[in-house]
Amino acid sequence: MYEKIEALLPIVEELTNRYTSGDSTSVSQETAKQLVEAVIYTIKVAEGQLAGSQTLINNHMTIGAQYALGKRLIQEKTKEALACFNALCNVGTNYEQIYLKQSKKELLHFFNYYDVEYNPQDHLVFLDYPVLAKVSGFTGIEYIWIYVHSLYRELSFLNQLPQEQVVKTLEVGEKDYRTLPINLCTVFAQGTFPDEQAKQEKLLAMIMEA
Amino acid sequence: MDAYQIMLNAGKEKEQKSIVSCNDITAQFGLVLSAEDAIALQESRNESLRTHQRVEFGAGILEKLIYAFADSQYINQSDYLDTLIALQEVFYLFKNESMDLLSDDELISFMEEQFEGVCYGDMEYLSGTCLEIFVAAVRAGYDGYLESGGKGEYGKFDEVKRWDKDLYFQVLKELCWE
Repeated sequence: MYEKIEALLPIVEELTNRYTSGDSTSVSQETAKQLVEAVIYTIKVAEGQLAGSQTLINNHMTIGAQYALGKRLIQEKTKEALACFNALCNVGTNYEQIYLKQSKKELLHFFNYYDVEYNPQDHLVFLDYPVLAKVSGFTGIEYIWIYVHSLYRELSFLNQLPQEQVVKTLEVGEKDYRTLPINLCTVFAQGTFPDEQAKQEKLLAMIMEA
Repeated sequence: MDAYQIMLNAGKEKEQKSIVSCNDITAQFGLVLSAEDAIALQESRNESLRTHQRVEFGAGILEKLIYAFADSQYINQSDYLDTLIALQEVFYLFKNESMDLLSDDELISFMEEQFEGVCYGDMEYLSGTCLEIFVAAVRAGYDGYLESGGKGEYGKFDEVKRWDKDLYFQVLKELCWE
């Protein structure tokens, strides 16, 4: 990436100028690092390198245009993730799962403090509740977007079923499910098909595709 | 070459020219920088930035410092380069010490006013006393500089009694009546 840094300099310079409101020509190395990473992350989003999406930029696009596109995509993804989070808040119960409740609080914190322009690469929060979707390797809004959408699909599935039945099945799957950092759908699949690994995986795949 | 070095090298020649072009203004105060001086200033600036772990973009702070101190009664051509080198070192040090709460202009205004005032051109006193006291207040939450732009601030924190009426009359008495 270093060979690209010279080309990124004008964008980083402009971003730094906005960051300091034009009051300072210099920033700490820590801040400079954060801003360089912000620019690189934003351009990567435009390049579609993240979240497995297809390449969005073409060869004729200047690096400035790539940055502008990336910024717009991040803003759109943030809006989408927030809309999904709002929908998630209206999806029934948390089944008294403490890690799920805590992660929802953390997500709220993310949407209050996420910095689209100066720190988009940082998702700020630790989400202890594991979702079915693969989130490792992603950062910033990419991570949150995948996490929130996966969580929404999972809880929507469980909430389609009678709550009492779900709780009973969860207790069969893992009696301490409320206090362990485990995925509810995985526990539900274990409770529904005890000792039948293939069926459990099929059910989880079905939930993910829903 | 690492990312940091690339940033430092960017616009190097352009900046050297703009530093030398400051002579158009500063020459009237008898202060002139050669092309070699400009390079020396850049090198010491880069060293200061490294020491204080800062990164500078755009035009940099040198020109602002040159213009702010151009009419100083305590700077001569013989010590011009050394003074500028010391000033930029002090600038970056206290930019960090103030946790970036002070803008470039506020910090330079404060430095220039004290250098010409209570410091009488003494760099040690400027950094070791005036800036130390002022920046400690800024870190502690003082924000009066936002309104004043860094001007007329030191009097609020000065620990030294600048005017002693009794001492004045004693000296006057000794000089005139004894």
